[in-house]
Amino acid sequence: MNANYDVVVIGGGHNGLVNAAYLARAGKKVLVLERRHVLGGAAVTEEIFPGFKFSVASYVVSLLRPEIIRELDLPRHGMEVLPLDGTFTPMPDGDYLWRVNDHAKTRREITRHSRLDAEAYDEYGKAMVEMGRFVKPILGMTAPDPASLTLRGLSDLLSLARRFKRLPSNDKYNQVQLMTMSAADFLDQWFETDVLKATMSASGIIGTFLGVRSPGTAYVLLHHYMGEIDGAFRSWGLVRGGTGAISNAIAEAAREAGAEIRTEAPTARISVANGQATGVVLENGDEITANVVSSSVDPRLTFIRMVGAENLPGDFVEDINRYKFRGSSGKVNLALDALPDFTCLPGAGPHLRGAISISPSVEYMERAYDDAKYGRFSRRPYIDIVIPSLTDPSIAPPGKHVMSCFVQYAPYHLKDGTWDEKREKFGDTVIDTLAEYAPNLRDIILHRQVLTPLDIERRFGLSEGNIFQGELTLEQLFFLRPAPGWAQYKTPIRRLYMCGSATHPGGGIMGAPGLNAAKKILREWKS
Amino acid sequence: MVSRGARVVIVGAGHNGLVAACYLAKAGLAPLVLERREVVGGVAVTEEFHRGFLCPAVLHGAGPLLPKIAAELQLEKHGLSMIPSDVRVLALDPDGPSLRIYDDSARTAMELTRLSARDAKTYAAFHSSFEQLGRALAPVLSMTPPDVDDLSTADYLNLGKLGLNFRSLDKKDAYRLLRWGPMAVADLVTEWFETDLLCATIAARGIFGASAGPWSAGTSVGLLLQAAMDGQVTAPGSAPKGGIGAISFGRRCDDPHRRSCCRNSCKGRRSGRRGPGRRGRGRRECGHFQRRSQRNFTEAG
Ligand SMILES: Cc1cc2nc3c(=O)[nH]c(=O)nc-3n(C[C@H](O)[C@H](O)[C@H](O)COP(=O)(O)OP(=O)(O)OC[C@H]3O[C@@H](n4cnc5c(N)ncnc54)[C@H](O)[C@@H]3O)c2cc1C
Ligand SMILES: Cc1cc2nc3c(=O)[nH]c(=O)nc-3n(C[C@H](O)[C@H](O)[C@H](O)COP(=O)(O)OP(=O)(O)OC[C@H]3O[C@@H](n4cnc5c(N)ncnc54)[C@H](O)[C@@H]3O)c2cc1C
Repeated sequence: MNANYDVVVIGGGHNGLVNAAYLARAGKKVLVLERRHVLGGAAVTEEIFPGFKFSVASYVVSLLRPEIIRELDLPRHGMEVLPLDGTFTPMPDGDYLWRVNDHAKTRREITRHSRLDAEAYDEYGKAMVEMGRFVKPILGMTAPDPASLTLRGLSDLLSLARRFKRLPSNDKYNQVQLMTMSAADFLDQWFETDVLKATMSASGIIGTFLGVRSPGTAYVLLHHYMGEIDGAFRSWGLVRGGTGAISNAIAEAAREAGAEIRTEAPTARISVANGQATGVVLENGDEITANVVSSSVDPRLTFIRMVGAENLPGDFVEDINRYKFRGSSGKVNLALDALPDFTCLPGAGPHLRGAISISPSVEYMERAYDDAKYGRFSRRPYIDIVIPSLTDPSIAPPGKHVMSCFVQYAPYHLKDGTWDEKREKFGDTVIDTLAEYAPNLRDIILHRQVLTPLDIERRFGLSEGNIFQGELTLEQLFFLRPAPGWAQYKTPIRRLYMCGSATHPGGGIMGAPGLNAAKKILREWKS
Repeated sequence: MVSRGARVVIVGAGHNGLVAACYLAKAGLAPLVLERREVVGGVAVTEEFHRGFLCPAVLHGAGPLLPKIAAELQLEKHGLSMIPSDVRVLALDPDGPSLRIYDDSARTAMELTRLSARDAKTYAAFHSSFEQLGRALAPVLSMTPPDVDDLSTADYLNLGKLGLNFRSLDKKDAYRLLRWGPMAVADLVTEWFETDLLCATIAARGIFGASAGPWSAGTSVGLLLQAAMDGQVTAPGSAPKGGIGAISFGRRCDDPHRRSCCRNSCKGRRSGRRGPGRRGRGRRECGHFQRRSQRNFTEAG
């Protein structure tokens, strides 16, 4: 039988698009199917209010693999990364912590809080870069299957062990600690300034249902250290035109290589015959046949909804049902008439051009988590804010601004009530929290968009609103992502592959799952 | 290295100090154990907190004492006798039926049918998997932790043994071992069971002594290490006759030369005569032990 396509890719998020681009470049006839009217999935720009363009979900970039940028020539297709300078943390006592990329300045600023910490900060930075260097090659590798090692898997593991052995002694212990400790405990070993530890620990909890004192969060800290822009480690950037510009650039590269991309084409089912994927059926009933189906949507959608439990081994279905989503984040996007004015550092200074972090103390962070543990959204949440219109004026009308607030914790499973009832109350809590530091905020809001985890699920098709298509916790990483024995982008259905954030190395605008899966598909290509 | 007959001073006569002393003495060294308090045993003591009432003063479970140690030191011969109990835990629920967990997992499963047919079924599977993992992990308990900077031949051998154990697990269990370790123990048990009381009772073993709650990631490691000791999902219910202190008091090594000594660094013999618990069997053992030890010490010194 002649199939319509070599490969059908389900989902036009950035990973699906990377996957399609690499397969098309290898000469395959590729079709991408996206449910929504826009491409990008969680890396998307939308004009929510006339004149205001929002990076509706993800808002900063750092993790995107440099080889993807290079090989797909993304700058030529319109991707431009703009620097995001530093992190500003206002404190309730009227002080603040403002770290910038300028090394000497940051050192002076930290010295203001603690001389010891200023010294430790340099060493910490160096150690984390070393750790990141050690872990980075793992991102590009297909996770071995430790329960039945192939030659390739064995040699990968051995080379990992050898590299570990060559690490200097301190780094070895750091590495072990990073894999097991909580972000707060790990940072306690380095620093004494509470606000510094609180702000830094925040990257350890992004997208997880864990607190800064939960073991395992130190690893997520590292995950966020692995980004690089222009070869510089640990730098986050904004994207001109919003994060959707990345997805659009990747889509352009894919089209140039010959891939076909359809929007408003939701997939209903993956066709399976004799344990083998043969194509997909769209929600409008259209059938498309393909030699290979590559799914970038999360495993619950892929397997339970599109393949159907009846077509899968029981153990596997059990593992997929156990895979943890538990979204814990929300997003509040604001269209502003003017800039927020922070009591502790008034005026429209450069501190507004970086990230603004509401993370004044470790206890504040942990209390935010306590609420979530018992099924409430945080009464005083952790908030990570950027105002991209200061760096990229094209996304807002002249003189006006766009403010993007990433909020944690907003547990998908509420103890009382529903998110549809609580949405505005959640939005109010975020604004109230911010207004404690920038009282003028309430008066300058023109529009606000509140995204609860339920909204994230509905809008982006991310189950339970988990921003990474499943928690980035140790039991769901590497050879366990998304299920034991199925971490090699393959599935129990022949010719059905996974290529989204629910596979190694996980979430973030990184592209690595899409790329690794493309390589895997090409290696295994038959007929 | 240390030569035969060499004096080794051991600070603290908790049960670990005493075990070390026994093995050193068996190997022909002459250990001297110094204890700050008037009783030996450290945390594992029986004390008479009120006239006539002997009580495990601190810990009250007989921990799963490694059977190998009990055998090698012939603790039974030295007066340790365990009162067996086939009920490990009685879990109480303020609003519902209680739950007994037995040594015998089949019996526990029977008991569970009253609460949930589903849990009764999964319990047996969970328990047997848990036992397998415990068996694979067991060598961890008796090995010196490897020095990651400089692995010795012994380290490689130990790690190799663990590796082989891991390979011998069936694929499902192998993955469970990798996956369970980093999990929150509450997540682990709720994956298997629907009865809250059962979940809480098993989770309790994971948080024992940790500054972590059942929802803290990594608490399953605690549970797995306990599994390595006895392959059971809850703490043992058996207790030594004469109270927990019997483990410490009863423990003497069997070296014919009796080089092992214990010296109470504070009050010595006087407390041995007057201290609480004289009537307790364990206590008498201890006095005996002390006197003997003092003599031996003089001999050896
Ligand atoms: C609120 C939020 C904030 C974030 N912030 C950041 C950040 O600042 N930096 C960062 O690096 N990462 C961030 N992330 C994470 C990052 O955006 C995601 O991990 C990443 O974009 C996921 O890409 P993906 O291609 O794997 O999956 P997705 O982007 O989820 O793509 C899946 C695609 O499949 C489509 N789809 C779903 N169902 C169907 C169907 N039935 N048929 C066809 N198509 C379907 C969806 O519409 C979607 O386009 C954030 C995520 C969220 C939600
Ligand atoms: C409340 C509680 C409940 C527990 N429950 C259980 C349980 O149910 N099951 C279980 O398996 N484990 C339990 N444990 C843990 C277990 O009891 C301990 O891990 C174990 O007994 C410790 O033994 P050890 O010999 O290593 O140390 P210790 O028993 O602490 O021995 C150290 C000894 O050193 C002595 N010492 C201290 N300073 C000096 C000094 N300067 N000079 C001389 N001597 C000194 C002390 O007096 C003590 O006797 C419990 C612990 C506690 C505290």
